Amino acid sequence: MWSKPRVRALLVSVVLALAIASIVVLALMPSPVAPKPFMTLRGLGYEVDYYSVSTFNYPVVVFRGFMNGEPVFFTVSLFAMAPSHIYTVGYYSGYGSVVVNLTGSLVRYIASRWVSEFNGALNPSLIAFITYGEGNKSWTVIAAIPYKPSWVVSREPIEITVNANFTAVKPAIVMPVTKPTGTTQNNPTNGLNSDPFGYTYEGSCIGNPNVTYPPSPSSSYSCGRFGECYYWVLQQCSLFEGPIPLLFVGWSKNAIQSISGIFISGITGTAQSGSGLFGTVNESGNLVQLGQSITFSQSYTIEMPIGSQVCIVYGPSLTFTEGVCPANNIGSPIYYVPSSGFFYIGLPGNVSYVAFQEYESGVGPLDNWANGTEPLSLLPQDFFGNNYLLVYPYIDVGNGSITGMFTGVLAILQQYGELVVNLYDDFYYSGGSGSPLCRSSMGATGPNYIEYTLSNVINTYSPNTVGLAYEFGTLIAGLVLDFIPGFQDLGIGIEAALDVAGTFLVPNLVNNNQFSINANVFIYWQPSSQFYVTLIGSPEIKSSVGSQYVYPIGLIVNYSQPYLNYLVGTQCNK
Amino acid sequence: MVRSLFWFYVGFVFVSFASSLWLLLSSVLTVMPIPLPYWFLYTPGNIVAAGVVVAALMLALYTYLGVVLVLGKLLRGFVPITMVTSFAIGFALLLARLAIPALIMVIIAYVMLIGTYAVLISVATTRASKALWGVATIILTLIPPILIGGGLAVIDYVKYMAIIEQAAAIIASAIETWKLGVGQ
Repeated sequence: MWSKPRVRALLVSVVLALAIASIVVLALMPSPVAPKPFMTLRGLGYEVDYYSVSTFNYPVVVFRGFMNGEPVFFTVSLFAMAPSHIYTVGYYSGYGSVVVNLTGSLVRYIASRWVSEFNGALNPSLIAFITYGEGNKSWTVIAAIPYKPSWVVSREPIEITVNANFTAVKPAIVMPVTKPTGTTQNNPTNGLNSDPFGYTYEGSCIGNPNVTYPPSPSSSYSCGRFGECYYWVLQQCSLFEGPIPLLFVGWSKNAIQSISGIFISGITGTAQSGSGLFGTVNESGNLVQLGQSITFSQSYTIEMPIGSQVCIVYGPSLTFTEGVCPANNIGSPIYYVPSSGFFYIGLPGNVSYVAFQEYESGVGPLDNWANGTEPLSLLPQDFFGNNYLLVYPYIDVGNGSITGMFTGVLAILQQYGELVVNLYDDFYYSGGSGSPLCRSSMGATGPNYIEYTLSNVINTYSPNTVGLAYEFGTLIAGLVLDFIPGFQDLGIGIEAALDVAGTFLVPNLVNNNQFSINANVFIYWQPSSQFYVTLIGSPEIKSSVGSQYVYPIGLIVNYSQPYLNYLVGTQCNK
Repeated sequence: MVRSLFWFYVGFVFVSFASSLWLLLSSVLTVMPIPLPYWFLYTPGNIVAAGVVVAALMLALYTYLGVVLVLGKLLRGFVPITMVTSFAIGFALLLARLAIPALIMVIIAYVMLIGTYAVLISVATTRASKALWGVATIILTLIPPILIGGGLAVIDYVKYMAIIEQAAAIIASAIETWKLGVGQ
């Protein structure tokens, strides 16, 4: 090569050109060195970088989604933690990146509450469910994004980038049910492998006139200028029957052995005319709302057919009988329970798992699916007379809906360090006397009991709510997953997480109309008893007539310490 | 001997060009929330990876420089070799989370880098490149005291100084390439 001066001259010219180009590049550099994030956080499948420079004059969160190194179309469900509640900030979607301004009134309100209540001493988090769907699979990265409330309040130009790498998480299979799962649950420890937390398979619902189709493919896909048209074909419809949990009471085995019993009374509520249920499907990672597929045409009073009270006491085996409640000598239906479990009140219904495939006219099926769930109907036993809606008692000793939810709560807590339900450690009883665990108790004590009022109000609070069906959707989605035993596995963790998100984060949607249910729970003790009561709260629910929230929707009676205390410490957030 | 340095200068210009281009693009992309040039996938992890690659290439170049000088019976070639060695040790110590020893090694490496520039002045074949290497050397020497004295308040000035240093070194290398390649 040394003997070839021309080659050398060419090389020298290239070097000179590159040198000049380098100088130009160096001169062009807008900021001399790349802005460095002042903070970087990492989680499973994501990295959060905080920059103090922004092309905007206000705080923004930029989500970037990658699959195998390529930018992809994805959705973001963004939630914000307020001091005691979780709010839905919104649902977003975009190709490659999504920008969310932290300037909305809701976000500013939440931030100002953090500032006013804790004087900026705490950094709360946004929780993002970042989802990418392709064909029959969906990948979800769950990111916790801590921020300083003062950035939002004073509109500082902070840019937070969240890089979600979908390749790093396991996909959930959400495609047609090839093999209907079993109808009953025999495994008392967990129901992960077969029966989806208390739902039973009924059969196909193809041809059912109640099935609501997705809105036609988005405008860019509908009939184009060359006359090509797209439409949905229902390829799979599986009908399930199961309860929608409304209120619950849980206990540990030691606790139920230690106390005299739990007595629940005054189980009543109302469902206003016009309230209803919605379906939800996941189309390529986009949550699309269907319906509303069930509407109450009139107002109903909610009642429980076996009466408005039940009694739960310890017994050697699970037994249900009529009699005199040993705890308080009042006649009522009695559940004898041998172990830890939940009692809950639910509304039985028919819920369908649907899978729609997109077709192009004259071409045939395309590889684009929309799948999810929609409630098709309530059951005849839900109605009585002209104006009664009946809710039913359920016992869950480890395989029911409530267990499913708490499996998810624990999975999220352990994997992401976020507690998605609101806990309030209310009361403990030991050595013959009881005291509040926090500043005050929400219960009312009597000579040998403490009484709580549980209630659950369901209301519309934003035009973009996905609604009750999302709860169904994620619950049912659990069963069509390729289940992996054990929820340490990410696939389960995420689905269970979505379960919880759907159940607790998205208030059930009833169009500006209210659906509410109440119950009084009495925990009876004896002098030798020991127990802790933890209340479980729902997120705040906003409606056009103002905001309201419900606390609690459930409670758990534990023996040795408050529920989840070993993981999260004592919780006094109300 | 001196002719063998031709490849050092060529490599220096190539690597410098690549690193400055990467710096420019990453700084633009960082403040752009739109998904424009995704074809080379900007992520902070990749920025770090690219930085590591550039640093490794630079160290290889300085090793080559030192070896060529030593083989040419110029013992000052041990200066860049010492620099590379101490930097590598410092980096290893950093990975082992031994912060103080790592800092000491990196300081030694930095001093040796200044020495390397001085060596480059001594072997430069033109007055222009000698002057440019000299400017770069002076800036390299001034940066630590300025940073220590001024702290983060002067970081922007230091960045501009670093750019000028980089530019001077690139032009000096280009001149040397020209001189050694076709000028003789």
